[in-house]
Amino acid sequence: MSGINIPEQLFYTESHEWVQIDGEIVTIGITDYAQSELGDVVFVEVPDVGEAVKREESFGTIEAVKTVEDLLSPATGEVVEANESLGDHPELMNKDPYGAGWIIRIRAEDPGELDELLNASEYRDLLGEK
Amino acid sequence: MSAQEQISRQTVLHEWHVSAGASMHEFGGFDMPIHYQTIMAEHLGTRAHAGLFDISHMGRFWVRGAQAVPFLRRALTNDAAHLSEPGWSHYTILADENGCALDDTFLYRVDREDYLLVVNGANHGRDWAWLQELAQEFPGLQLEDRSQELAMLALQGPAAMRVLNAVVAQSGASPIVLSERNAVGRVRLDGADVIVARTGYTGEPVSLELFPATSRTVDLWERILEAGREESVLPVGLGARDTLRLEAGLPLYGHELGEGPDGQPIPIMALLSMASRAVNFADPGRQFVGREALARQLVEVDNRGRSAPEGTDAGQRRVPYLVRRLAVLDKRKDRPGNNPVRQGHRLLVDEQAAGWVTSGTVVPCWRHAPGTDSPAESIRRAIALAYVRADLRVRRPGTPVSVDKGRGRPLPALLVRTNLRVCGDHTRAVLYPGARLA
Repeated sequence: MSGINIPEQLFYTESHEWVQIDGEIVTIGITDYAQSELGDVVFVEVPDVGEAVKREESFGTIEAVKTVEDLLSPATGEVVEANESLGDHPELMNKDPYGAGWIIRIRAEDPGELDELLNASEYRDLLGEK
Repeated sequence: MSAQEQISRQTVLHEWHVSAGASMHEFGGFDMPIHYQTIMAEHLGTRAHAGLFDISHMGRFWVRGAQAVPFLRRALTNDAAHLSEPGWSHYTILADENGCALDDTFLYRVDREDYLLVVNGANHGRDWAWLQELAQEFPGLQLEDRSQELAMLALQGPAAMRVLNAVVAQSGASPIVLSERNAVGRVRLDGADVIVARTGYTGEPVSLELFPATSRTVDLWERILEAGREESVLPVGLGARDTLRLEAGLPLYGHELGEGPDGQPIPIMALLSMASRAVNFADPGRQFVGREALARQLVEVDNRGRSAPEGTDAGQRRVPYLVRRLAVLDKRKDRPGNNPVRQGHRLLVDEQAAGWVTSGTVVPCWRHAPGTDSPAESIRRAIALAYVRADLRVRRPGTPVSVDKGRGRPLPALLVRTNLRVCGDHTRAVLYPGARLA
C-alpha cells in the first residue's frame, strides 16, 4: 500500500470513507485508497441539507467511469452541509480527497457511535491485508 | 472445468502491463489492463496523439484454401467475395438462423486464399465450435485457431501512421501506405512480416491494427512506445477502449448485440447503419446463415413509421427496438450532462417506457480554441447507446427523451445522430443541445 496517503488525525470506515470529528460535527469524504481504486470520479449524489442519515446505511452514491458505489454514513444524524463544488468538479475527489474533495458534514446524534471507527494505523492494517 | 481453466489467461504482454503498474482485471477470460494512468487521460491521449492497446484477448482464426471463400460466404453476413483482392477487410457478423448475432467480427483478406477472422474474446470458444460445425459442409477447408501464435495490437489516433512508420524506418524497410480505411498490408520488421490493417474500434480515422508473431510482440510494443514518445503516444487499457468505442457509437457484444434488455436476442438489423455495413444481400444466390430472417428484418426496418404490414401488431414485430445514440443533458437542458446513465436504465418519452440504455458513462472530450484544430481544454459529458422503440424518429439536432436511473428525477437526454465527427486526421466531439463541434 505504498503511496497511499492516510492522514494520522482522521478516522476511517471499513468501506473507505474518512471521517473528521469536531465535537458533534462530522465531515465525511472518501480515502485516497478509495479514489485510486475508483479511478476518475464522474458524479456524486448526496442528500440535501436537513436530510437524515443513518449509521452504516447509504447516504449517496459515487460514480466512476466504470463503477457505481454506495457511500456509507459513519454515524446517524442530520446533514448540515454538502460540498456543492463537487457538482461541477467531481474530479476534486481524485485530486484532493482529504481537502477540497470532502463530501458532506453531518451533526451526529450520538457521538459515541464514532468510537468504533478505525484510526489511521488500523486503517493502514486493513489496506495491508488486501 | 478443471481448476487450471478457471484461472484467467494472460497475453504475451501480461508481465509488461503488471510492471507498468496497470490496474488489471478479468476480461473475456484474460487478465487484462483496464488502465495504466486513468481512463480519462488515456481516452484524451488517444484522441489528441495516439494510443497503443494490447487486444490479444480477441480470437484470431485463419481460414485457408480453395474452400475458404465458399465457407466464409456461407458462415458470415457480409460477402467475402467482395474482398475482391488481398489487402482488404470488412466488418461482418456471425448470425444464427433467426438473424441474431452469435458475434460481430472483422474479416481480413491477407493473401489470395488466406483469410483472418477476428472474433470477440468473450465469444471465442462458442464461435470456434459454431465454425467447426459449419466447416463440416466444406471438406478440405483449413480452419485454424491461431490466437496463441499471433498477438494483436491496436495503434489508434492522429499520430498512429507516423509512429508506426518511424519504427519501420528503424528496421530499414519502406514505409507502409494504407491510405484507405479497411486496407490490409504487411510491414517487414527485422526480417519478419507483420500484418497491419487500417481498422480499429475507437472511431479514429488514423487507426491501425497489427498482428505480430507472439514471440516478437513485446519488442514491437516497446519500440512503438519509444518511437512515439515525442508524439506523446501512450499505452491504453480496455477501460478507455470502451469509452472510445462508446463515443464513436460502435456496438459491443453483450450490450448492443446478443441478449437485449427485453430478454430477447437483439435482431442484427436493429443496428441500422452498422448492420447495413455488415450484411450483404447483393448476390441473390448466396445462402448465408440467417439470410431469410435478416431480409425480413430489413423490410420491417425500412418500413418503420409506416403502418405495420397486415396481420402484424406491435407485439409481433421482428425489430421492435433499434440501437440509437444518446446525449444526456444537464438538468437545465442547456449544456451536456455529467450524470452517467448505465446499461439497464429505462428510457421514457412522455412518461411512457421507450427502451433501455445498453451502454453509457461519462466520457471526456477536447474543446478546441475557436477556428483552430488545437485541443485547448478537456470537458466531460454523459453519453450512451440505447435500445429504443422502433417508431421513435431521430430528428435533428435530437429527439427529447428522459432516462430513469431508478432514483431521483429522470434525466433529460436527446436521441442523436452522432456524438463524434471525423475532421481530417482526427475527431471532434459533437456537443448537445445544438450539435456544436467541441
